[in-house]
Amino acid sequence: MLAAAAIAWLSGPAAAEAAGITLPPGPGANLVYARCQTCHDLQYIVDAKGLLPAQWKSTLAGMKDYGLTISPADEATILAYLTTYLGPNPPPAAASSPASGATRMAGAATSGRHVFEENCSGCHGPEGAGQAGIYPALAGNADLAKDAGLPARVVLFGLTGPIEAGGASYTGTMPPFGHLGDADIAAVVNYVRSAWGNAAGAGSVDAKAIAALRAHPLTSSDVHKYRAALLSPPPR
Amino acid sequence: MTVQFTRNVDRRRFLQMAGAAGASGLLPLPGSIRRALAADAAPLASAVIAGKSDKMIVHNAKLGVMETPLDLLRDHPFTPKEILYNRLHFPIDLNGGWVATTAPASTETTRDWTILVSGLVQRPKTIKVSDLAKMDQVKRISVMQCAGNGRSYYWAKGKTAGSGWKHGGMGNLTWEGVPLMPLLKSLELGPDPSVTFLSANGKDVPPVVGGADLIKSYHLAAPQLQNAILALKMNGEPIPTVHGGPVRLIIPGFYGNMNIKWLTDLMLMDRENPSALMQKTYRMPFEPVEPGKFTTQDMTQQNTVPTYGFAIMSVVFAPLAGETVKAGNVDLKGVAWNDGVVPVTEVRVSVDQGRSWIAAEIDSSDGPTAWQHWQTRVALSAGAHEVWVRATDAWGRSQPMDGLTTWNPGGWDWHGVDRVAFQVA
Repeated sequence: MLAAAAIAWLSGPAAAEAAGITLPPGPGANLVYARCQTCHDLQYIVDAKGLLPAQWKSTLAGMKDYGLTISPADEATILAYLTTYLGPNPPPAAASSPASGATRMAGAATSGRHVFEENCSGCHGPEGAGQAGIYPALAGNADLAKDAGLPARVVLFGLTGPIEAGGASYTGTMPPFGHLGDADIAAVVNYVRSAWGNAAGAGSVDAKAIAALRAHPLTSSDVHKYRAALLSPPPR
Repeated sequence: MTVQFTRNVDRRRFLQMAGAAGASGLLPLPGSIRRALAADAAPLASAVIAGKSDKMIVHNAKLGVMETPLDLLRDHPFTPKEILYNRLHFPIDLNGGWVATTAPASTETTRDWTILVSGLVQRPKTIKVSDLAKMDQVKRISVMQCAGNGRSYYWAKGKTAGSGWKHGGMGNLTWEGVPLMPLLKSLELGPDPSVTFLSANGKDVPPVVGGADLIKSYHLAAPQLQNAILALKMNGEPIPTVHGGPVRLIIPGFYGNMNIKWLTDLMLMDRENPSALMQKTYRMPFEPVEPGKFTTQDMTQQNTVPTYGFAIMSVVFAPLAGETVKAGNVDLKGVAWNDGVVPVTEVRVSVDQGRSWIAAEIDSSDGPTAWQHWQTRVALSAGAHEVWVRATDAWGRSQPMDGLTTWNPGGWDWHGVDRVAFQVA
């Protein structure tokens, strides 16, 4: 029986999402990671390397036609990134370009609130109120207290609905935010678990704990199953 | 049901392990998940779609996009589900990833599946798939092909967005189901005189609120619709879920995206559907365009036409690029196909860079919408050689000698003369 369960886990779709395609580092890359993986993986962007600026502009406009909602400022940042780093004449990669992970590790921990506002508030709201039916509220979300590993893995590897939270169901897709540094992820996890009156439950996490989770990549489907296992009531 | 069972088993295992929480304060994962994540991170086709061969070339894991290497494709007159190309328009993990398998839909799903036929009609009707299965079934043998098949060859002129397909975004398949047009007529819908288009929609939905749905519209005068079926079987079996089961609209000769999977809606309308996936992509400009001068955002109904029927095309299956064959009489083989309106009537082959052409034999025994198997034999001496192939149809339409002349911002409709370099030893 356990074997059957294991097979069910293993057959999850899109295991390759965890493959972690890396973008050339540059200003705006983080926004591309955050906004473009809801609908497709980064392979599309890497494959389109060399598009002329007018083509990138048109491609990004097309994404808005397909459902991307984005502020004019974020759109301009993404367009500048794509045309510069994935255009016909990209700047040469920095000699001994450090692994992005290393860069992330080196950075001093930003405040969790700052990380949240930059990366999470667009969907979950500045006060963590979420959006009915799509993105769950984080404020007052009791699931966060159960295990810091849940929000940490959701941030690292993404999560696709449908999920149930607080008696309501949510269908949105959260892309992976694994491009953020370990310290930033730890900070934002600790922030959402303690902000808005949330009771953090068992302790806080640090960058080392995030690094340990990162070392064992999950698919978003695995995260969905892990969440279900963590939150479902015990079998009678 | 399986999901519930799995959850409970893992819950138990999870609780067993929970006592061993590390110093980090994090609970450990259930052991079974730990095994899953030990899987190789490379995008293996079988991890993206259960049942696919790992020899497939994965272009986009999240959208389940993969193509067939030609050395596999050429081995089968009818392309098996394990190696048939795939392309979805929305993430494959949506709604529990129910489509991510070559297995058929469950008996319950098939039994409960309905198609709403509506639009500008007096009497909308609902059709049950279980009722379709009781009607007389017809068979179609037809090519399925991605409109972006061959896109990567355009990149010699200018980059386009989209996956870098070679020639493997196609297959030859048998389909069985109920003829579309007689069925629509039998429903006595009472269509308004203004009705000129049929639109089709499937169960897949975009991952974001307000996102464009994949809805396709066909002019009711399109001759291919006379051959269209509501298909229940592919290659003699219930349609694999990832390929549109339990019911898919099959229009022989039309590009893949026009053959709506998981069909739930047919609508008789007076115009094309406004969805961005109908109006802003999968369209070919009427006039030649240049990279950067004409973009997908410049496309309108006035200057482009949807990618409906296949542009006439032929490819070489033997020898494949880079292969070495024995000197003497060399067999040259491949397939050709067309848009489902008129048949391929001629396939010509050149082994001297187009200076002279040889008519190949054509086997069209599977009908005009299937692969037309062509072959010829040419005496070749040792050295480097190149074979070119060019098909022509009954209306005299043929393939451009230089495929780059149809460069377009979406990279659709590649049908340039195939040129394959190989060695004779």
